[in-house]
Amino acid sequence: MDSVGLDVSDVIKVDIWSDVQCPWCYIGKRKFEAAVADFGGEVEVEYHSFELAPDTPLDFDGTPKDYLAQRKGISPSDADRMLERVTGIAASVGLDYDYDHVHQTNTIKAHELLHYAKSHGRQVEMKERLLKAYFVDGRHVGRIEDLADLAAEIGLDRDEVVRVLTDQQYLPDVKADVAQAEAYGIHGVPFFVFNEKYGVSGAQDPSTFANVLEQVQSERETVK
Amino acid sequence: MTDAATGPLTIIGDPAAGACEGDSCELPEHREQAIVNRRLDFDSV
Repeated sequence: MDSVGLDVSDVIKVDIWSDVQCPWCYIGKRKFEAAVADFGGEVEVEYHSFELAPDTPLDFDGTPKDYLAQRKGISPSDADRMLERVTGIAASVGLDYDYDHVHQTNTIKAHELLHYAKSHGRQVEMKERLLKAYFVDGRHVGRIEDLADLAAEIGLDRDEVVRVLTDQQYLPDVKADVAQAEAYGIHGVPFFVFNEKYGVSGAQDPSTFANVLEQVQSERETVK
Repeated sequence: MTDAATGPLTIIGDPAAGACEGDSCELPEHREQAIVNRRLDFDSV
C-alpha cells in the first residue's frame, strides 16, 4: 500500500474508521487487504478513530463474556455462542482470536497512539500491532505503559510515546476523526471511504472491496 | 482526507455485513440478537 513514486492522481485513497476492540474491524481489515492484494493499482490507507464504547473503564474487571452480561444482559451461554461465532469467522480469514485472554478496556489512548504513529509514517503497522495485541496476544491496549511497549515493538520511541500520551498531544486529532465520522453519518465500524466518494460499511467480502477499487480506477481512467 | 470532507457518500455493499455499532457487534446470522441489544441500550438510557 505504498504510494511513493506515483502521481497522486494514480493513488486511490481509502480512509478507514475503526476501533481497536472491534472484532469486525480486524476481520474487515483482512478482507480489505485481500482485495487490495489482488488489485493492480496503488492504494493509500489512512486509519481514523472511532470509539465504540468511550465509557468503558481503563481496566474492566472481567472477561468479555462478563462485559456482555453486565452491559447487555446477555446470558453467559448466549455470550459464549456469540464469541465462538465471531472467533470462527476470524479464523476463516486467518486470525486466531483468543477471547479467554482479551482485556476489555478504553481505547482512547490507543487512538492517540495511532495518530502519533501516523505522524511518523507508521500508522498501518501500529494499527495491525494493536489489533493483534488485543484479539490474539491478550495484551492490554488501554494503559500508556503497555501502549508504549507495543509502539516500541514496531520501532517507535517508547519514551516519546509515554510523553505524548500523557500530555494528550493527539487527543484533538482523535476528536477530529470522530467529528468527521459524524459528518459522514457513520454510526458503525469498520467503515471504508474510497476517495471521499464511496462508503462501504462492515466486514464485506473481498469482492465488494475489489469492485469499489475497480470502479474508482475506471472512473479515473475515464476522466484521463 | 481534507478536514471539510463531508459530502454525501454513495454506499456500496451488503447491508448485513458484520459491523460494530455502539458496543454492540452485529453478527450476520444473529441480527435478532443485535436488535435485542439495541433495545436494552435504549431501555437503559
